[in-house]
Amino acid sequence: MTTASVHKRASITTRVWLDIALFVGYVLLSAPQTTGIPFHEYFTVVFIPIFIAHIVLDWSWISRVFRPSDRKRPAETRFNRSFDIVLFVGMVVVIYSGFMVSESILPDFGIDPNASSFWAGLHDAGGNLLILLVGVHVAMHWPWIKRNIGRIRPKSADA
Amino acid sequence: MSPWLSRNGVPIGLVVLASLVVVAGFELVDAFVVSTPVEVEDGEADLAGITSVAGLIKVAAFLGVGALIAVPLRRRFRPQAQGEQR
Repeated sequence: MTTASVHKRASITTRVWLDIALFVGYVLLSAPQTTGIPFHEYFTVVFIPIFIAHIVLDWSWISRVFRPSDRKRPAETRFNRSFDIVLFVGMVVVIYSGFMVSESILPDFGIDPNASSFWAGLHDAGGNLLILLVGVHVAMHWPWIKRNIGRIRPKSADA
Repeated sequence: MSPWLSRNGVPIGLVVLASLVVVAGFELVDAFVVSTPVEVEDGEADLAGITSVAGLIKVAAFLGVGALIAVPLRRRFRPQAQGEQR
């Protein structure tokens, strides 16, 4: 195995583990009825860097598909490119509106969140819509997930 | 600064900048729409019985519906050239 392939494998392993953490974290975040509001809000602070890392570790794909090209990109790529922008905007809005209607983390730090019906409605409706969008996102990238999830399985000693 | 951070400084900066643009856009919308203050409840909500389980069931159901929406999309794209995989 060359140094480059070792590096690539390590990188993909990191990305797969990060994606698993992101997905599990997102499911937990999306169920405040189950986890409770304090966890819902404090865990968001942990979730944000994982979310940013998810984007940054896939930056080579992002920069490749957004780079102007002479040839027309496949429809699937064009769809994923536009859809992922919508998903990014949705995620930012839901996270930010969540802070604007904070019931736990901001009051704990003595900050009045100044909640309004605009942010509350946006957080509730946006949060539900976002779960659907994440389902589509995971399904659209399923071939990549399926192909690479096998790489994180430990190899047996006699393999 | 860690080597990873310095290597990925530009993408991180762009993600943060894009987030700020989105937030600023929605703050602008908030300034123009009529909204009323809402009462912030105590964060210590009761987590009991079926309500607690219902939260996870709802998430699973919504994710499942999202994945089902993607099925016809993927079927439509399949006959065409394979997209650039991330």
